[in-house]
Order: sequence, then structure tokens, then C-alpha cells
Amino acid sequence: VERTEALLLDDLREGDMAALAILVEKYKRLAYRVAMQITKNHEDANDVMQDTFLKVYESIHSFRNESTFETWLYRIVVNHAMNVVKRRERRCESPLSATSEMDIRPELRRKANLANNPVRNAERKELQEWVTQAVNSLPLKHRTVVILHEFEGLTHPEIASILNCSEGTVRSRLHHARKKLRVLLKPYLDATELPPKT
Amino acid sequence: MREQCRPIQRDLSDYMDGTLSGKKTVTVAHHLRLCPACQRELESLKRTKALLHDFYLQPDMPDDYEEQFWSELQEVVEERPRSIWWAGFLIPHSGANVSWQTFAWQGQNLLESAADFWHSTVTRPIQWVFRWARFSPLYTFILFVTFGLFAASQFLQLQEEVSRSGFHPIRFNTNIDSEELMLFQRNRGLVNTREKMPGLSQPLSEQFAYRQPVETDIPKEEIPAHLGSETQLFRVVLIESDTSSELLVSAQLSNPQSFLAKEDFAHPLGIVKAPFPEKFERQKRQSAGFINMLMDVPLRILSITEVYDSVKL
Repeated sequence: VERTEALLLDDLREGDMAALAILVEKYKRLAYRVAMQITKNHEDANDVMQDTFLKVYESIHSFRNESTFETWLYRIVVNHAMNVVKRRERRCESPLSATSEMDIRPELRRKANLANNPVRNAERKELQEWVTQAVNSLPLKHRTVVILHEFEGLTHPEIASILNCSEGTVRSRLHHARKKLRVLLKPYLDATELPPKT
Repeated sequence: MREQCRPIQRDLSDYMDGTLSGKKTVTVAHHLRLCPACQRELESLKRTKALLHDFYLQPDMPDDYEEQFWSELQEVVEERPRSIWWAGFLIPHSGANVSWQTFAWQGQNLLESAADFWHSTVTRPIQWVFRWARFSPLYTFILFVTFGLFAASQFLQLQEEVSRSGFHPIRFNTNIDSEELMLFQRNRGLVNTREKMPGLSQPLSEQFAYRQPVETDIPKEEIPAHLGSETQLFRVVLIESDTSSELLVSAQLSNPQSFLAKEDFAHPLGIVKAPFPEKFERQKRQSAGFINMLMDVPLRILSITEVYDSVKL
């Protein structure tokens, strides 16, 4: 019999590892996806995942159903991931397996020059990489809001709750992020025809 | 960009998401109909959003990582005891020994179960009531009306009791038998008809009839006195009278519900039979019975009335 989430959380409060296993199975992809997008490398994302589910296990008694469990989980993942990135930035480390912001801009410029040619000749994969790199090149706070809103489909109030800021701040960050993305993606915005979607 | 386009373009992102307020949405829509520049701006924002949705590559978890992650997490969880959020207050150093950890863990479990019990038995029912009250004004109204009717019925019942007995059953908190009071009150109005008066507490075991009580000018005063070797303050009532009749000592009490029962009444404390001692000393420590009753009555309400023509029935 499938246990409801409320029952699972009750079991987890009593330290039931089986309940944790079910929750991990249900939410691991979400956690990994968000962690990976914010930290931009697998090793950091793995650390964030470990810390996140450990935090869930240890602090489940402090979860009082004021939000959904998913929102609570988002909050933990996002905050852990942002902390990892900030720590890394303080140490002036670059992400291990992703292109840093410094590297992306010349790359984008090169691709933009290529894209001045008819877009129909560009490969879909290239466009995907470009769009992904454009998002990755955004400052941390802007990138986080874009990821949560555009790709995770969260509302402004939910994002405000996760980031512990006002809805106005969320809207402002989203507005500025879109303006930057528009500049970065300008060659493709002007194209009359784009490669087919996946 | 024109000056009037600046605030509109700031709102275009929200306009696209549909998160703008109604009034601003109308303003932006109206402006967009007239401004090709802002139309282009909106179009490019929409295309940016579409590019993101169509071509952004969301990372997915590697297949071999899933198993690896769970086994790693399981190890970490099993190695670490669950956090003891309050133990930090008691155990400042992280290197607390196992017995402390166990003790703290058991304590935490106990606290958590107590908190859960409180939540389920007290907090949740209150929340339930107030949730209903918040969502249903009718429910709130019914609650208030029910409470009001209950309070009104209690008040009316009380007033009926007061009007029947002549005194307030709750506020009247002296140690006076209510039946005695009522009878005395009734008899007071019938003093000339030689109605019988019920027996009072000791030392009187007989019943007396009496005529209109006459307030005498028997002096009452309170003076300090010394008795024996001890220097103490005693309350002494001096009764100096040459009357050979008996004296009724009573306390004049005000009816707390004077708007219902207009008259005050006197509570008989006893009858001092003549001849009585010229000096009637009251000492709390030694007092008992009748004397004790006298002691408990404040002097300002102490009334001494001559009773003559007493007849043993």
C-alpha cells in the first residue's frame, strides 16, 4: 500500500529509514537538477544532495506543514547550493566541469558571430548549449530565480519563500535576468527560423 | 526609449507572466496598442522565454549515480545520530560521550511526544474551532448567541434567587445561615404581633418573642486594654446600662442586592441575659461561641437592642 506523504513524514519523524528511502526516491531527481543547475558541477551537486537529505532527516521535526514538503525541500537545496557557490567564489575557485562566467562570454561572442549566418545551418545541439551557457553565465541570484521560475515552474511567492526575500525582489531579479538573457541570445532572437525542438 | 516607455518596459516581464495587478495590466495593454517600440520589447522577451523553454538543457541525474547516492547517504545517516537540538544548552562541547547522547536523545523523544500530544489534544481543536469561525460568520454568530443566552439564563436565575431569598447567594459570603437571616428579616416586620422567633445559636436554646426593638444609647467603644502580664491590645466593648431587660446584640448588614430588597437587615448574634457584666471584655484568643461572634462583627455595625417582655413559648 502506498503511503501518503503525510504518513511518510510522520514515519520519518520517528527515524524510519524506509520512509527516508521513499522520499529520496521521489525527490532525488528534483534535488539533483536544482543543485546541478546552481552549482554547475556534479561533485558540488552531490555534496548538496547529501547535505539536503541529511538535513531533511535531522530536521524533519521542524517542518510544521506551513508549506508543502516540496517547497521546504527546494528551500534546503537552493540554500545549500547557493552556499556552496558563494564559498567557492570566496576561494576564487572555478567550477570543475562547467564553463565559468569569465569563459562563457567570449564563447558566446564567437557563437554569435557564427549565428549571423543563416540560423537554419546551426545545429540544435549548439543552440541548446548556447542557451544553457547563457543561463549559466548569469549572476548567482539571477540564475537561481530564472531556474526556479522558468524551469521548475515555481510562482513568485514560492520563490520569495524559498529565497527568504520579498516578491518584489524576485520580480526585479527576474526582470534583470531576462534583460541579460535577451542580450546574450540576441542573435537567435533575430533569426527567422530556429532548429527544431527536441 | 521614450520617457513614458520606461515604466512600461519595467513591467513587461510581469505583464508577460500575468503577475501584474489588474490596473497596471490595463495600463500596459493600452500603451502596447500605441507603442511599436514596447511591442518589439515584449516580443523579444517572449522569444527569449520561448528559447529558454525550448532549448535549455536541464541536467539529469546519471544512471549509475542513483544507487551510489543512496548507499552513501545511508552510511552517513546511520553513522550520525539524529541531531539533538536542545542538547547544545546542556552539552556545550561537541565531544559529548555516548551516554550523554543517548540520554539526550531519549529526552528529546519524550519532549517531542509531549509536544505532539499537546498539539493533537489542545492546539488542533482550538485551530479547528477558529478555522470554522474564520470561514463561517454564521458559525461565529451562533456561538455568540448561544453564549449570550446561557449567560442571560444564568443571570435571570440568580436574580430570581435573590428576589426569593432576599440576599445574593454568591456575593453574600459571611458565615451566616441564610434561613436564620430570612426568618429574622421576616420577624423584624412583625415585632408587634408577638411572632415567634426561631431559636438562635448557643447559648440560646429557647425561642423568644419580642416587641419593637428599641435602639438604646448604650455606648459602644473600642479601647486598648492590658490583661495580665502580657501587654496586648484588646478590643473591649463597654456596655453600661442599668436596664434589667435583656439585650439583643445584632449586626446590621446591608443587603448587597439593595435594588431588589430595599431594606437592610440585622443578624441576631445572641441575647445577653440580664444581669450582665458591667464590662464585657472580648479577647479574641479566649473567645468562643457567642463571644467569638461578637469579635467577628465590626463595631460600626454592632447593634445592641433592648428586648423586654420576653416570653418563653
